[in-house]
Amino acid sequence: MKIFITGMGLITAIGNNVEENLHSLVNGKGGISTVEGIPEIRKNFLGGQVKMLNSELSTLAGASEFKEVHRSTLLGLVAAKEAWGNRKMEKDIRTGVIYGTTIGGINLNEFVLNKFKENDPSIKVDYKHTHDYSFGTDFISSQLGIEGYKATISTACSSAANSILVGARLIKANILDRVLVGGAEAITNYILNGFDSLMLYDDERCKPFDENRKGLNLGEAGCFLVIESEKSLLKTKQKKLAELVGWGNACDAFHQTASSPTGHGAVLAMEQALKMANILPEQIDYINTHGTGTPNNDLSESTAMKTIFGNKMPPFNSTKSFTGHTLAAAGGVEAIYSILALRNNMVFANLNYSQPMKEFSFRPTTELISNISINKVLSSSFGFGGNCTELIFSE
Amino acid sequence: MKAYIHKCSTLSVLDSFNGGILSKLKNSSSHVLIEPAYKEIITGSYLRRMSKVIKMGVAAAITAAKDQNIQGIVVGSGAGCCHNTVLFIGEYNERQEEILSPHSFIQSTDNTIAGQIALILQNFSYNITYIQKGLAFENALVDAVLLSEENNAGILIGGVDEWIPLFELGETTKALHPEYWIGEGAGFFILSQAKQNALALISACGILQSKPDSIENELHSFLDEHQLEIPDLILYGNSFVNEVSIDIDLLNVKTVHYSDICGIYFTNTAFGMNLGTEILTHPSLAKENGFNAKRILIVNNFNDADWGVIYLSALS
Repeated sequence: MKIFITGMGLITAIGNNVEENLHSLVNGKGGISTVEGIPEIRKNFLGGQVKMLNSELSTLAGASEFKEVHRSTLLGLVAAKEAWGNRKMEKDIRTGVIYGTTIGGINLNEFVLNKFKENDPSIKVDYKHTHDYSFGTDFISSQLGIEGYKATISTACSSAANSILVGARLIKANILDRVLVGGAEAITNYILNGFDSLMLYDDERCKPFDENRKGLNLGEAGCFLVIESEKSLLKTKQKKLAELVGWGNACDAFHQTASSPTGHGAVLAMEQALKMANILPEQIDYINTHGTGTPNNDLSESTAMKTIFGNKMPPFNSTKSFTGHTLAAAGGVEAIYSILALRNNMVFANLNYSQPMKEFSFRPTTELISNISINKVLSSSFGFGGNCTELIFSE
Repeated sequence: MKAYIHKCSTLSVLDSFNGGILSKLKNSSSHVLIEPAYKEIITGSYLRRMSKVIKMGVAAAITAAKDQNIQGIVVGSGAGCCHNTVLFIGEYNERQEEILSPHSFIQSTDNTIAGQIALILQNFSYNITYIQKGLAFENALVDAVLLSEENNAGILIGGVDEWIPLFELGETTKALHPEYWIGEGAGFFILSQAKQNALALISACGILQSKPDSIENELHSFLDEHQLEIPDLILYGNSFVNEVSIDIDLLNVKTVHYSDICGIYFTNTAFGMNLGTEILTHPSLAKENGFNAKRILIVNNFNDADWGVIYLSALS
């Protein structure tokens, strides 16, 4: 059974919708700047922040103001509305929602916890509201009027990629006909503290695949795609934007937060995806890498790519140099960028790059390539816990 | 969607980790989780760094996984590693945001449990974590059954949740039902497509959306859709402090509340599924405890709106 992408929605530091994102990508306009609204001690931190207040995001999502809704969920809702468009629930199209999240709702949790500690009697919060988890899934489903299978996935930075993968498997198994899949992540003080404590934060703009890379910049984003079966398409008559032809999920099983020197998990996931798509590595025209800009990730990922592609490395880049690392959302953001590359026959630039890594002869695309034919794109997403997910999109 | 259950391993308020649930039922009255000696199960170098929920999940998982060929690890946890999130917030608040140890941060990622299981088992296969609160176990089970069918493979699947002080914030609804108590537990299973040596069959599983007063109609539709007979027993559980209490025999079938035994927690369906499997596997022990069934429907009421359903059949 074939799986088609028929809708996309996106909000990142480089645009409030898919069109704006494409415009920034084509023009090499990155979105990483000083993060606003965080404690003084990290006031110089850089990140890919969506420069809108929560109240403005609520308005953009078509509601007056959702006071108790986390920022990550608001970002998700903006993207979900764009992806879903004016679709309707139809009773013979079994529809589901699958949402990827890390702990993006933690900003509210932090607030509630502090009040709880202070014994503030004004705080009467039912424990179902105390952290994000499935709240985003339930909220977005109800806002769009979608009733059906719901799932929330948390595989750290590969969460949204796994939402796409699971949605596709449920369609292939004839359990669902159409699924809204994606994820969201807001920049929170919590996550900034976390990556700072791991010493993975670059105090300059991140430089993926550069010899002198020092770490990542965080970003925030909401992203959703609508994926459908052929049977569903017969009824919805939606336009096909791309086809999802292969996927792979494997575990690196090396270390809780670091990738193995060989990129074993990534290699396994790439092999699975290529096998399923029934294509050879040389048929991949472009790789949208995970490319966080940390010394460990980029070395491990490059090693994995070398294992699979050898001396025939297709053009590759890390679009995190535009958006920052949007964690749970990253796999969905980059799936959409992969489809934009496919549909517009171009490869976007890998920003802030100057010096090749000494271990490899290949280098990322440093300037926009537009005289190229792209038929198949590989998108990589990895996460803490060794989670490795690969998706292959085709025309 | 079908898969056979081959192994179960459950941590609960009964000493189910040693010898299962059924043989301990008669003496059940405690609300305190009985934990095994983790150091006999988990290697010290891993164990030292693990928080409680990770220990619980890993102990149940690697016990179920012993000597099994596993090509997928699927974990459901309603509150995941939330407690480490709380700890990390406390740490940086206390230190006025100064850089601190990343320890709690690393362990606050919900997929730490599945990641540690893979690391210890050195298993490089499919690995995923679901956190859909009271349906997290059902999300995981649907994925695992599907994965087992896709690859004709053995899959390790389980649910785990620990009690955390944050849950006390829910006192307002709890006041409605003083008999409810919040528990904790872990239950892991091996599923495969092989009938040989299996314990029971998962004939169907899924998620329903329904108000409590129409749940019986939805259950009938579920049975019809999957061409399943009316079960002999319903195991019913609350995975949340629900406002509506169901105290009738659903579908006019004997209905037993497993959440009264194991407590309310998001992934307590795993306890229900282990209990159901034992009832089908050990008919005489089951009879001693008042159960007599060859077909069991497990019904999980998450929040009076979302429901998990699992249909178990005895092997002939």
